[in-house]
Amino acid sequence: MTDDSTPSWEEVARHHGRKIYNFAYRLTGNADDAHDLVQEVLLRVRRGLSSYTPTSFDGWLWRITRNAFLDEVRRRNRRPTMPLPEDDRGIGAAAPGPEEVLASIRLGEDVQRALLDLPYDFREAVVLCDVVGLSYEEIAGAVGIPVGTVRSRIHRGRKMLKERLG
Amino acid sequence: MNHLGDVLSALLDGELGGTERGEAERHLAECEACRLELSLIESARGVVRALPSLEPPPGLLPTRLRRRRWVLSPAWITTVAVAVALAFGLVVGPGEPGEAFEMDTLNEQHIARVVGDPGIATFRGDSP
Repeated sequence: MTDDSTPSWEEVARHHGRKIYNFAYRLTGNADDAHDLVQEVLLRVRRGLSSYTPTSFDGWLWRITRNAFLDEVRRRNRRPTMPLPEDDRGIGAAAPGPEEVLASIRLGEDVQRALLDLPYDFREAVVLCDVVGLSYEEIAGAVGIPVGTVRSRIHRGRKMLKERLG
Repeated sequence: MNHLGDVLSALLDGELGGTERGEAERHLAECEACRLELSLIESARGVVRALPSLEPPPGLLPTRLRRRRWVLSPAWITTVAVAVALAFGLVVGPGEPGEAFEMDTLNEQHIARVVGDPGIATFRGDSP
């Protein structure tokens, strides 16, 4: 997708829906939360496309995704009867889908658990880099922090991850 | 000696420019502590990248996204237009110059064909 044209909502869903789902799943460890987040992000994308001015599409999309995620966390914080993403470790338990999907989830369970142990800022930086595949500059644009801070968060996140995994 | 710290992650991720990369590699050649740290973060980076890419649950993405888009080509438009015209009997073939249409006769022939009733002639009063 080029930066000089505005994609349609269908193109966004087709090209990015899976990555948004994986981003949300790796941040929350919960299929239902990931499901809700993708729906919310696509809704916001649909509303926002009309006013989108072509600059960095990925930066725009991931800012929306991140804001939707943080809004959801804040919303749940106001309603403590619902578990926070960090408190929900039912990895794969509620995940619908084919057997092979469940098997892959089980294989990555230890890594997923270690990711969920990281403080949010570090987890987010690691997931955006190593799961979504954004560059440091794209992460900086999406999160709204300097590239140097992105580098630091990714590095510290990886070190913490390694300590937890042994 | 200053250790590389987060420069190591940037090096792994291909985020360093030529000069900075050269300096980092020269440092690594001489610093065992940084080589050890590099191997640790490389391992952490590897396991996260090896996590399976999960398929979103069925129905999450609108199904119409998966359907082929129909494009109205000129050929399609012509075909549809002709079909509609035929359905409403609007197609008129070329006639002989000066040929006159006897509308009553044409109507009767049409009714006879549609109804398939040989007795239509009786209706017309042509019976012997």
